[in-house]
Amino acid sequence: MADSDELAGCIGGLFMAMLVVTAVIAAVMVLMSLGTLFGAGTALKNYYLAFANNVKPERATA
Amino acid sequence: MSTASEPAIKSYFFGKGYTDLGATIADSWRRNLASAGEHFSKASRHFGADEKSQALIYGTAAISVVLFGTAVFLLASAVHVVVLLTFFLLIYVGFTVVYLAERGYLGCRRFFAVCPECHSKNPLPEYYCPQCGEIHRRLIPSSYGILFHVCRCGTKLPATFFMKRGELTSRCPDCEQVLDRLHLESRKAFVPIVGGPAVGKSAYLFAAVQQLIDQQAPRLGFMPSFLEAGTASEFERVQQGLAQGRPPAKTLATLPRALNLKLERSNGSPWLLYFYDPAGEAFAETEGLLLHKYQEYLSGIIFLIDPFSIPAVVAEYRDRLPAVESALAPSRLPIEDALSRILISLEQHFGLAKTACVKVPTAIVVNKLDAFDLEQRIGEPAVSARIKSSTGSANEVQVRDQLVRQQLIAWDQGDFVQQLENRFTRVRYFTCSSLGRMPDKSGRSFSPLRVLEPLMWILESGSSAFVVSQARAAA
Repeated sequence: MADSDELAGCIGGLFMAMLVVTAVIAAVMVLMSLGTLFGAGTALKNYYLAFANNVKPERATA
Repeated sequence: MSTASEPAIKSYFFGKGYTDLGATIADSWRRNLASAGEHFSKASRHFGADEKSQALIYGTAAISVVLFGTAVFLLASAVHVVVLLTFFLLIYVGFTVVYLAERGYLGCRRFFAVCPECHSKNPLPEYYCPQCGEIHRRLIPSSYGILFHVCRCGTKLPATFFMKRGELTSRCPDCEQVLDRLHLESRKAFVPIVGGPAVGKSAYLFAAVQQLIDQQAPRLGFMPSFLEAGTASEFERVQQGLAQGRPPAKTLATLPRALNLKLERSNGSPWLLYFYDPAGEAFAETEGLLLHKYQEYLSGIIFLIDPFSIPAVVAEYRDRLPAVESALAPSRLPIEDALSRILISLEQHFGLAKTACVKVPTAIVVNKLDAFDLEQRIGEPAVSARIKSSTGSANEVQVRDQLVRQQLIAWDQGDFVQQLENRFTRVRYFTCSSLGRMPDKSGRSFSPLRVLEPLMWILESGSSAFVVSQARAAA
């Protein structure tokens, strides 16, 4: 009886650990996604600003 | 054509686009570095203040900008390059197609620019901007625009024949003489009247042009007019002189401006005829013909002969000649010398090989037939008499050729005839009198004789537009 209780506790512990690991991985993934979006967004904004500042069709002088 | 840059704004995709691309890439990269640096410094500050979680967030943000920002930067730069190159290619194809279409169209209609002043032939004149007066040397579909160029002053200029570029004022690229639209946009014929001094070239030219205007042009359905007002008034002045028995003054310029006659018809392209009347002195030495660039694109040659420049003729009429010598004004340049100099000029400066033949129709015209009994000997009465006496089906042209040729040989001009037949593939002999009679003080009008035939033969040889069809003749 005692053996089966210990086994259940192990399984429960492992389950909980897996839940935690999964949650951490999910959190890391979310963070990475956010990081990706943040980095990409910043770069896009920078490219847009650089484009707006530098790209101008040649104008007539008079 | 000059390679100087155009005073026009180049297509963005052929010039400034690439400078802007470089500046955008550099600026964007600087901004990314600045963004990453800002997050790194914030992370460092929070880390120092023992705010580890915030430091972690800023650090992660900085790394994100470096990693993903660089990826997005590379992608955006690549898209920018692809867009630029795509438009570059589209515009390149566009202006190449329009340019080739224009060249093909102008080529088919045989339109090219010829300056009446310096006689240079160019595929395109230079155009003035109507607003600022700047010269556009290559107003064609190009990297400056497919259908229009934009002048630096902001004026939009048509860059192709199809967009009515001809409405702009243009000039010759070589001598900068202002050109009329028709100097490019018309069919053309180029006829120089050549021969030694005092053979009667100017009188011939004015008489032939007058007869063309009065007689032949209406028959062909053309409305003739002079291109320049100056030519019209000069022509009018000479015609008034001829009507009062005054021959035209001697041509002084060895390289004269062409006399342009415009022939327009309700259907079909207009024609512009270029007549050249260089002073006979130009034929006294080969160098005198060097600048006669029209030799490069001749439609035909009218070679005038003064029979009194031939020693045998002078000998024949030596009893009667002194009495009329001043009125007759015999040419002093032997006809063989004049012909040789034309050939040497063509060989030395206009690419005619030493043994090659001149392929354009060449009319050999014996002038001054009104003198003594020349008309009876080699003129139309002699041609008619020979046709009547011949047994076969004699052709008038052949008989005239034969008669004049034989007479030239009889006058010891066999070498001249031989040189003609060896070096010119299409020769026809004519006789005429540019004035119709010898000049005197009577004030009577001149009546030129058979001056139109040589000119019409050359024009008809070049185009059917000058052949009087039966329908036209009936009308």
